[in-house]
Formats: sequence, C-alpha cells, structure tokens
Amino acid sequence: MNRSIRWLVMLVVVAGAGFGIWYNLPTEEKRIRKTIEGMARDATFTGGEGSLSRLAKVESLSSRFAVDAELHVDQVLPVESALSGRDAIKGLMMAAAPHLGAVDVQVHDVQVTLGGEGEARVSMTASAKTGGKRGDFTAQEFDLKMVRIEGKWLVRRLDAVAGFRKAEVR
Amino acid sequence: MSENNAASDIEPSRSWWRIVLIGVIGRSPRFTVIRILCYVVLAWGVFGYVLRPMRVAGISMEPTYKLNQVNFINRWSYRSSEPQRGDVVAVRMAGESVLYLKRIIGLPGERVVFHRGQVFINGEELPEPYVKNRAPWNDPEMELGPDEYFLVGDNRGMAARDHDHGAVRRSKIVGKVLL
Repeated sequence: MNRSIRWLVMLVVVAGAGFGIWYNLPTEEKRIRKTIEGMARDATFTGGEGSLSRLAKVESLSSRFAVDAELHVDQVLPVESALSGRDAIKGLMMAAAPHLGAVDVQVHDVQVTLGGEGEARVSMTASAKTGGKRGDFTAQEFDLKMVRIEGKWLVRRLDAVAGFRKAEVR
Repeated sequence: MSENNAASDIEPSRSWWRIVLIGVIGRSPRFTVIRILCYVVLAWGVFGYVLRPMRVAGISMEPTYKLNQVNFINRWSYRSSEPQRGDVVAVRMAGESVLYLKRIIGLPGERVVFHRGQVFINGEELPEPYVKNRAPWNDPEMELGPDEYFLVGDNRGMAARDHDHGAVRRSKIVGKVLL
C-alpha cells in the first residue's frame, strides 16, 4: 500500500513538473497569445481612469499593430471602407479613448495557426462589458493576420467576422 | 480520580470527530474515493460534452430569457433530428466560450422577410406568440441556402441594427437550449 502511494505521489510530481516545463516553454504560439491578451488589457478601461493613463494604453495598443496594418470592420459596423496604417488606427483610438466609460475587454477561444516565414493567422472572439445599468455585453469574432517583425508579433490585418449572413439590399 | 475526569473530558470530542470523519469519508474510505471519482467523471462527461452550462449576457432574447439567467445547452439535441422552427439554439463564434442565443424562424430553402416588424416565410405570415414588443423592422427578402437557418432573438422592441440576426450555417449551431 505504502509503495503504491509512493509511486502515485512520484507520478503526480513528475506529471506536474512536465506540465510546468511545457507551460513555461516560450513558443511562437504562446508569444502570439500573450500579444492578444495584452491587446485586451490595453483596451480595458476602468471608470475612474485618467486621460493620461488612457492615452498610454492607446499608445501601447497601437504599438501592437504593424506600420501598414489594416482594419476591416465594415462587415459589422456601418463604415464604408477599411482603416489603413498604424497612424490612422492610433488616431481613431486616441479620439475614442477619452469618451469611453468603463469597459472590460476579454478574448476567448484564441486559435493560432502558424504559417511560414514569420506569419500567423489568429481566430478569436472578443467580448466587451461596459458598466451600464444593465451590464451591457457585446461580443465579436475576429480573424487576424500577424507578422513577426524584429522578434515582435504585430497585427498586419484585422477582419471583423459577421456572425450572420444578411439579406442583400438591392 | 482526576485522571478519570480528564479522560471523560477527551472522550466526547473524540467521538464527535469520529462521527464527522465517518460522515465525510464514509465507513469505507476506498469506496468513498471510487464514488467521488465516478461522480467527477460523470459530471465531466455530462457538463463537458452533453449539457453545456451557460449564462445569458445580452437582452436580445428577452422576455423569454432574461439577463444573467442560467441555463443549459443540449449538444446532443440534433444528433438524430434536424433543428426545427421555434427552437431556441446556441450558435458558436470563434469557439464555444461565447455563444449567440437565438430562435430559429427560417428553415433551409425558405424565403424570409421582415415587413413592419412582422415575419413572412415564403410569403405567409409567421405567428410568433413569444414576441411581446415589435418595432417596425424592415429587412429585404432573403433566400436561405440548403444548409442555412434564419435566426433572430425574441426582443424585437429594440432597433434592428442593434440586434444580430440573419442566416447561419447548420455547422455553427451548437445545440438547443434545455429549459
């Protein structure tokens, strides 16, 4: 009995150590996941956050986009064209950040597909919970194309995926 | 005499612990461990693969399903049959952590149109007793593909642009809401 318990404990310790090593091993996929999680953190604002803190977060968020990044959200928002270039994206975020109330952004179901030559595709769902009276909640599916530039994974293209096919207006 | 008194002071607490110990781990610890393992495996199987717990986070299904209401999605509901009109179903996004909760109103191959808030299927008015408030939505006619279902929430009092609705492929439907 004692021997089997000893074996069981050893097995648990070895399995735990193996999991710990695997979990902390820096792979490209984990780096991409950290970038995505960092984007969600940067897009999260508390109600009492000052303008400087908000602008610092916007600066950090925009630094996660490549210089030639493109934002395609016309599938879900009433905008006519894509937003091109990191500066344009940053400008939009700078304009919006001071007017946002408390918003908690989280990412779910992040699926990373590594391609060749420092490229990767990411599929994920982002949710935003605002501090409204009814706890307003919204979620959106995104596809991202990411590139590794100077060892850092950056978003080159972000597409909002429409959850439902709409009727075509003739 | 004093030793006897001390012994009688200790005895009741020992028996109390014994009752608690038996209550917690049972008379046969080995059987209790096996029973707990069986419960864990059963719960993992049922709630991981068959009945997925969920909490309503939006208002698009009000008044049928209210904010923060807890429910389950039966992932096996469409293993032997196809989704039916009127079923409330969960639809996946990138994965299954966040799901849309909507009602099926249009079946594959049908033509769906919203006119002044009323739904017409293949030109016939659809009775919808579950809709309590109706804003005058106008959506152009849509013909569903052979693998598509038309989904919409019960809360039609809100603006159509704020309410996700439209056609989804069968493969995106995770299951039917249980309660």
